[in-house]
Amino acid sequence: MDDNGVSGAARYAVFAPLEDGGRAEVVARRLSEAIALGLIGDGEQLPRESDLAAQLKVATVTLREALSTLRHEGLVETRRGRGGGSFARSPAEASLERLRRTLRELSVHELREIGDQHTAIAGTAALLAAERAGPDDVATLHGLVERLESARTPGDRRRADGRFHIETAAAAQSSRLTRQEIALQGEIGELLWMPSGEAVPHREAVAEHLEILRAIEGGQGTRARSIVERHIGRGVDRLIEFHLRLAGS
Amino acid sequence: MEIRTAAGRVTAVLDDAFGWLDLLADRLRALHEQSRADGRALRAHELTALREPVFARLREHPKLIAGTGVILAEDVLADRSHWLEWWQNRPDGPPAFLEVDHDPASVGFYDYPSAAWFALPRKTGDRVVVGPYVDYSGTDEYMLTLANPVRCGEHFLGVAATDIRADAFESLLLGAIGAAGPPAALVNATGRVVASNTPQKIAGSLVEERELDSAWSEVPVRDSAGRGCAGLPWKVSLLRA
Repeated sequence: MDDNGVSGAARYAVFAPLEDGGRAEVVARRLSEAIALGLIGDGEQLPRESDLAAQLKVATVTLREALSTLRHEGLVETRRGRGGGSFARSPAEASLERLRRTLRELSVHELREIGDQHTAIAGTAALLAAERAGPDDVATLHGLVERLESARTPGDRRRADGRFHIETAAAAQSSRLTRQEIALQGEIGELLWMPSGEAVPHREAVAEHLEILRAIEGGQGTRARSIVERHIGRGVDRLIEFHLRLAGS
Repeated sequence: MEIRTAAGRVTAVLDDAFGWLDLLADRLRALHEQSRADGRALRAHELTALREPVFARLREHPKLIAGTGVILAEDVLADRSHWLEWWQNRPDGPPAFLEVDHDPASVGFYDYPSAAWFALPRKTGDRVVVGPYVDYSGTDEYMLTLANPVRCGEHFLGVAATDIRADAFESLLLGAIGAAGPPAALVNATGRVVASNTPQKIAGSLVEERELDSAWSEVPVRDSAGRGCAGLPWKVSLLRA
């Protein structure tokens, strides 16, 4: 990584050509998610407009429109003159307006698909973790349940929640399940922890994580899987409810 | 006895890796001492001086070694408090620099100060073998990490470390015992299978004492230099049918 660059894998995903028509909203969403997820860090300089437009395969005017939206949302700052350019501004907390829009734009079908996939991945990870987790893994997971419990901001809650599921997949000793869990957390994590709109209320999320962990610790794979499935199913059901509410408003 | 041969081969691989880490640690210490003699702290770009030996090491073992390099403690570099000079073998083409998430606020933050292979050598001064484990925020592979603390006097500079692909040990075991031999496993100090020649207990699964065949003595795998090393001994043992 260069001094203020984006990491390689992230750059690939963030700056890969857009395949869905190259509308300014799509460009803006791709970049804002990347900023919110930390794929583009606070203060990092974006590539020059002409280069970025070429990488994304969109017209420069489309990119400018997208950057203007992001500036308006406070996610990008533009400085003029020498050493100038566009810089990412990571919000301390995710912008509620942006999350609402994302949730409105996702369809029920897409949300259900994400939920189905997440249930399959996280459920199997919990089942295998119950067979394969060592004392170190269990200690790590306990730490993450405590971290979720003491987390006050939506961002901290989302990170502790995401890390718990990612560490469960790692405790299952599976690189593939872990990679997929990370991708799913990137896709849905922020939505589940919308400021003042938690899909699973904080206290219940803590209780459910603890229940999952106890089943893993006790080697009860089938039980661990079914609790995870219920936990994730609840979250997705709530997101679908939010979506319908937003779309119908 | 084949399990003795297998244990010998595994020991040789570990010894060779730790020999390399001693050399790499010396190089980092020398860079640090040089910068102190100049009355300043090291900067991240000066670690490029380590690239030549690192690349040579990677070229020597394209299959076995997934990556190697140094990981710095927070008070060592003048311009970075979180930094790795780490290179990975690629199947074809030159080594690749490992790019990780240095932002503590991100879900994917590479939190190495709390990783066992960094925290244990820092705390105990001993070397360490960790794994096999899924290294999800670093290299994305199923891995073992060997690490040596690097100190300058009392000052902990970080670790010199290397990643060995977990798969590599399977070949070593199969080379000595064969797939048709009696079911055997290489087991780490926490009871996790590193490699086996049987689907009964595959790499990553946990094995309990009662599952090992006590009629055959197990063969320990230890660091032959006899220095302290957390995570060892491993053992090669036959499994109960």
